[in-house]
Amino acid sequence: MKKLTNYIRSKISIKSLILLLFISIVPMITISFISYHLSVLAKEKSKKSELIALTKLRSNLLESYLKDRIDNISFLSKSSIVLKAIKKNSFYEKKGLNSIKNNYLNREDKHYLNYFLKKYNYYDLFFITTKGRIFFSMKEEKDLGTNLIKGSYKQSKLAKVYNKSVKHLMPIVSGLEYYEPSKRYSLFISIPIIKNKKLIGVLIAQLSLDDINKLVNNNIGLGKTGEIILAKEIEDHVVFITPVRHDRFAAFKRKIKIGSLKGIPIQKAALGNDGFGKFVDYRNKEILAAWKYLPNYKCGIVLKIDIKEAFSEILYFQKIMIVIMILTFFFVLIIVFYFKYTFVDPIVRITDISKNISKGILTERIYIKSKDEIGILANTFNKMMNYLLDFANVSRKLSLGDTNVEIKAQSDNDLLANTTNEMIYRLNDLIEQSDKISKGNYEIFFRPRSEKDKLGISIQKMTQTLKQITLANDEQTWLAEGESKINDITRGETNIKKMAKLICSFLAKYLDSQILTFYVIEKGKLYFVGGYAVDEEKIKDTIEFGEGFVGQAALQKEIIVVNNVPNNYLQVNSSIGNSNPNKIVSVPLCIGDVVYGAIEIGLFSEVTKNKIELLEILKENLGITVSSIVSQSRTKDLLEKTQKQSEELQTQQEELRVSNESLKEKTEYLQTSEEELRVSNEELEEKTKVLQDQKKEIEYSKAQLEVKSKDLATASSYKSQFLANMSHELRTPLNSFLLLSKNLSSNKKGNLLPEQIEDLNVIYQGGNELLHLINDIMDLSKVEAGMLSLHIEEIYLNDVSKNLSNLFRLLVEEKGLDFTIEIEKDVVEKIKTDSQRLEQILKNFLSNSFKFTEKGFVQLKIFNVNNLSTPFLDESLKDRKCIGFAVKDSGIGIAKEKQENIFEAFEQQDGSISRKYGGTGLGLTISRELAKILGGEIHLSSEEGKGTTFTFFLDVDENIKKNEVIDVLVDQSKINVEKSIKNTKKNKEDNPILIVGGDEDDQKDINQILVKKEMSVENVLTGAEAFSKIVSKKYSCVVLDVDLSDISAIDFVKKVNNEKLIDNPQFIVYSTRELTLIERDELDKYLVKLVLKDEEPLETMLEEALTFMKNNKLIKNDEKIIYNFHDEIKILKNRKILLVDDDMRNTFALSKSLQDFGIIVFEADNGKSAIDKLKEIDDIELIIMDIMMPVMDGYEAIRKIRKDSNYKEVPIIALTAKAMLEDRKKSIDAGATDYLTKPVDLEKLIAMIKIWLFKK
Amino acid sequence: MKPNEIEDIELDIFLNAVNKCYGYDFHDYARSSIKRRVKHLLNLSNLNFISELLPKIFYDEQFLNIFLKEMSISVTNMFRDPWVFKTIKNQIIPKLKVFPRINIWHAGCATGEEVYSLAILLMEQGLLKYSQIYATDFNNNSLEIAKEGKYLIDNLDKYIKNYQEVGGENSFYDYFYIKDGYIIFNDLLKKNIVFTNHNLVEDNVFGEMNLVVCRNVLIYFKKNLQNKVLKLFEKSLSSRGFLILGDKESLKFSTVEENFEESFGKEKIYRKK
Repeated sequence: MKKLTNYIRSKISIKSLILLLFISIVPMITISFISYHLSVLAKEKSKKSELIALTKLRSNLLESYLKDRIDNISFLSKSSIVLKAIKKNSFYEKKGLNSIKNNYLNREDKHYLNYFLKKYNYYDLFFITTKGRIFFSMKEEKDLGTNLIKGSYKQSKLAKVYNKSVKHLMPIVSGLEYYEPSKRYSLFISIPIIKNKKLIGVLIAQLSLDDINKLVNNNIGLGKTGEIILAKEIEDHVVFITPVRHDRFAAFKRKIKIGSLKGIPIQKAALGNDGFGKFVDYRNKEILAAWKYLPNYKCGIVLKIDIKEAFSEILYFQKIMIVIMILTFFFVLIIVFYFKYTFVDPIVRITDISKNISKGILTERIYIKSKDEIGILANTFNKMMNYLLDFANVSRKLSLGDTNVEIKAQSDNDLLANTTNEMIYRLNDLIEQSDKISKGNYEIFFRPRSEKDKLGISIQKMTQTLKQITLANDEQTWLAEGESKINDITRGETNIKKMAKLICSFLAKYLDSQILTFYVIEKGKLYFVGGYAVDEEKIKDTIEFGEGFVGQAALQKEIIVVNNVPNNYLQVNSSIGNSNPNKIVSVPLCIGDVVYGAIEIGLFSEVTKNKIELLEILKENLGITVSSIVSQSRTKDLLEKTQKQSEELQTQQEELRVSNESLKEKTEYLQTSEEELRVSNEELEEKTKVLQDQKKEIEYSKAQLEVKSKDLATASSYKSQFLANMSHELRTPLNSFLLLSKNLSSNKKGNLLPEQIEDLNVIYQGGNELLHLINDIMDLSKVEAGMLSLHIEEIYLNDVSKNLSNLFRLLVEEKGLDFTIEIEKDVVEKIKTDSQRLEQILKNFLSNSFKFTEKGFVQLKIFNVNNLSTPFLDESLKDRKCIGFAVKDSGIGIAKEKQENIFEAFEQQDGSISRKYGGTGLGLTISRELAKILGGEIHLSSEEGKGTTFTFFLDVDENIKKNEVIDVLVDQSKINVEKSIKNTKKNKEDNPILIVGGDEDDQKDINQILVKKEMSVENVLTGAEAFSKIVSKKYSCVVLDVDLSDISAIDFVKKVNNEKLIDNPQFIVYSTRELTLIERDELDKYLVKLVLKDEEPLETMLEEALTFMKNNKLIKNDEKIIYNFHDEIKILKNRKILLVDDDMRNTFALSKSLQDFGIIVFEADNGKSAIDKLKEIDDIELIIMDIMMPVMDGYEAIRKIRKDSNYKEVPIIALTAKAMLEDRKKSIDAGATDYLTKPVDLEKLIAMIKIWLFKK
Repeated sequence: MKPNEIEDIELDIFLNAVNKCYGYDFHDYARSSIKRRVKHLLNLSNLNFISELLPKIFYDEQFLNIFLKEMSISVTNMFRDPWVFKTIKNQIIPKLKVFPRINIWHAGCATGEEVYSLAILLMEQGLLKYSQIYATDFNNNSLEIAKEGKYLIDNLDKYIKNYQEVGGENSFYDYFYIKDGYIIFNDLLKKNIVFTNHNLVEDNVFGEMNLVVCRNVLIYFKKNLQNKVLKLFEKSLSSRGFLILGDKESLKFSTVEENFEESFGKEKIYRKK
């Protein structure tokens, strides 16, 4: 043992092996252990925070999903769909119709709700009344129609959220719970619907679990084993709600008994705790888990990960450490063997050889290749041996007289070698010097080694003598060289400062001077331009002539040499310190007598004659150089200055110009606005003038009017006079004419032939008719002039009856008709009226009846009028007592269309009648006017071929003052006004407004507004009803909902238009929704007006839309030009034309007109769509192209069309609003065949189309 | 002959030349105004007599543009006369809502500031996308500027002030971006505007309009031309369509006065009967 320890101690290799192993392996094990431990702790910590964060994230996601849904449902609850449904329900409820089959939603709304349900993944939606009745649900499950307060589901979660939200009036979310009617776990969101601060219903959404499953089953960020569990406490179990990663069928199947050791986290979470920890899960695996309770869902959420996965990296780390330790051990072994070989072994060898040297043996050598210290040691060892051998050899050669030897010194301190070599060198030097001197070289300075060196001293003396002789020669060379070098320096140099510096530094070297200054003369002063070793701050920049030595030299134009310089005159600066040169030379630089500069030189060395001589030469040379440089630089300076000035000038000019321009612009602007002002002033002046003129004109016309009215009065009196005259002048001769002819025809003298008597009768009859006519005309003109006088008196109706019966008796007998006059029993005996006029009316009626009745009867009936059943034209008659005089016959009757006209003057049923029946045609006209004056009106009812009844309703009310004779002056214009009022009234009655569709509230609102405006209104619900009404009856206007339940408003309007009614009603479409561009375009085509309910107040917009109705009451269907030429149609029939115009109305009207010719019209609303159309339809024969269009204008479109080979030749007619030749040329240049100006003259267009189609 | 009379003859010849060469008819423009404009043009061209302009009109095609530029006095502004635009915003645009599609003609739009003003108001009420604005002028130079919608930033303060006076509902900055010292209006505004050449003197109606805006153009015309142009507007307007004239213009004493009713007198807004 002792032997072994000894052995180890003596062996370096074993010692180092042990040492190395100790210092490498032990720390490593320690560090590995500590770091393993720490990383386990860190990993656990990081996993913990990771899991907790993920849990928080997921629960936030779930919460925000719920919040989203609440917002979503709240939004829906405010929509018109829900409100409408609730309103409808309350409407039905009021009527006691609580059926779940009621139509609460129209098709579109239902469609929308379905879409809503699908899009947001709701399971179901419930609409509930304030009393708890579910009146509507989308799925229509068992719960529909039940009551949540009293019904069978009053304990359900649905009922609970309903009650809560009704109580708190806010959105309520139920937890996840099993809902029996749907047979599934559900979550409810209940939103109270509040209108005008009143609860009107509740909207509840049932969420499907799909979205929650998706949110939970997203395993991103959970590694390979991570898992999320959502579970709920039910009785004494925790039930999984969603499928989980390791068990797809866990939902509502997997349960954990509360209190069991498995799945502790989920138990804690479901019971309302949050936390984190290491546990065993339901699969019996070790896990790390974080958990949290979700109050809104009323369940817990757990995020967990298997420990194996969580700590997998650390196990891996453990393995790697062991491997590294083994590798380290082997590595240390290798190092130890290497160490032994390279260090330990050579040392052993050197020790052996040293032992031999000490014994005097010099031949042995060590061989080691290594370059480290061991190698060097071996090498040095070998060198020392060689040196010793060399020395021995040299000593042997010297002793033989061979001086050409040397010992290589091993270092500077190699005393042995150095002394030996010095000795050898000295010997050789002596030999060489002597040799050189013998060849004439005296430059060698030979110093004797000592006084005893006799050989040295004699050689020294010899060389000195020889040297003095050669020196003189050298001085000359120095001067020449100096001059030429200065010339080199100055040549080509233009910068005086640079040159001064170069010269100074050259001279400093060449003259062995320590300080130099260089001055240039300008304006009589010396300016410092450069120097050598000068402190430029201390030096004076300018020196006057005569100031100091330099000034003096410049003044004298001579070189001044000063040997004893005053202190501080010039200082040499060096890093060692400042000192004064003791000698100064000042050199003026001049050409002849003109000085250009000066140099001052300070030196410590001697001012030799040589130096002065050189300076004397430089004085002149440098003078020339300086003068030329100075003049050159002056020119350059001047040039630069001018350039700069001119640049400045240019910029100034530019600025001036710019400011000028802006000034000009401003003035121009001022001028233009001034122009506007001036023009408007002039305009105003002109207007004032016009106004004055007009005023004058008005005054003048007023005066004229006065004159005219006077004239009129006279004229009217003339007219009366004329009428009176006519009555007299015409009737007097006519009367005598009649009397005479009557007398003659009685043939009292018996001298007339029967034919003559016949002729006389004809004359008499004709005269009689003429008299009637004159009377009638007189009556009519009196009535119309308002000059008819009435003679009101009490008359007996019996008298009237008698008179008439007498009057017509003859005629009755002649015609063989049955004529009766009947007075009803309860009719008063006497009335107050103008009997003559009353009889005139009745006579007119009766003579008419007799005239047009060939056989049968004529009857006059006088009766009390039943005011209720009589449709009076004059409504004031309704409140008065009237007597009717009806004349009825069984004559030819009057055709319906003629009945209106029969009262017009000179009108009879038709032209032929007058020929057959005679009469003036004035009777009924007069009767009508008389009736009016008497206070009554005439009605007519008749059927062609069956007979006619004329009835005169006479106002016999006693309240009217009729007991005196009144001259009734009826103002003609008044009549007209009344007439027009009556007409409009009639119009209104005839053409009511039709309101179609929409919900009840809308209809009610619209009704109210229209009724307030005194319009008559009718309501229908569907398009079909409306259509049948419109076809059969005239309506002035149709107000319809954009989405009718059976047809869209657009299609409806189209359908009505296609019906080609004589008078199309005006359409107003109202809408609660935004219309699309396409819809708007379509509506625009048919001149439909819009009422957007939510935009402006309904009333204002409706009123605005109605103004259009008042204005163009009815749109005439078409103002067609009637074309008779059949061949025209033939040419145009079935030809295909593309019409391109952005104005929809224009397009529509034009294409309609073209279609009337049988043309097939395609439409496009801009250039781009036209090109698309052309691609689609390839046999268009002609194109009509508007020029001014959005997106792509006509020019561009035509150009593009022409590029297409199919349409190179197709005729294109350009429509332009531009009249200038240039513009027309432009469209032709673009490729149009022809052009037409807007607005389009259809005749011209058709002509043009014909021409171009015919050509083709 | 007095120099004044000679000048009148010269002017007539010159206007004739313009008409014959290029088809622009200025005979019915207000005489004194056109005289001043032509004289100003003389000054610019460094000439003494109007007749000296003739060779330029005959042989220099560029000169026509210079002349047209001089003739079209494009004094305009964003929301010029804000009270007018305020009435348009509050009273006129709501009435246009009854039209499914709205056609607007801005005649004599010059550099287009007022067209954009109108477009902004329409956009704020959600109507621009259903509208088609035809902005016309006879000066192509002005139209180019209008089309670009690019205006010097210097007047921005004034624009904003006017916009606010009108009662704009957003920030005026929403409608343009700034580049190189100009404000440039957004493409969204331009989408529904067609800028195109149209000469009120020569050209005809091109569509049925619900609103015609023509401000401060008629004042440069003689009475007969004013009537002619107003007739054109009347023809172009749909039933119950609106016509907006300039501050100093009115329908009083015009031949179409009967066919319009005055909606807002101060703002010169009329409505077809």
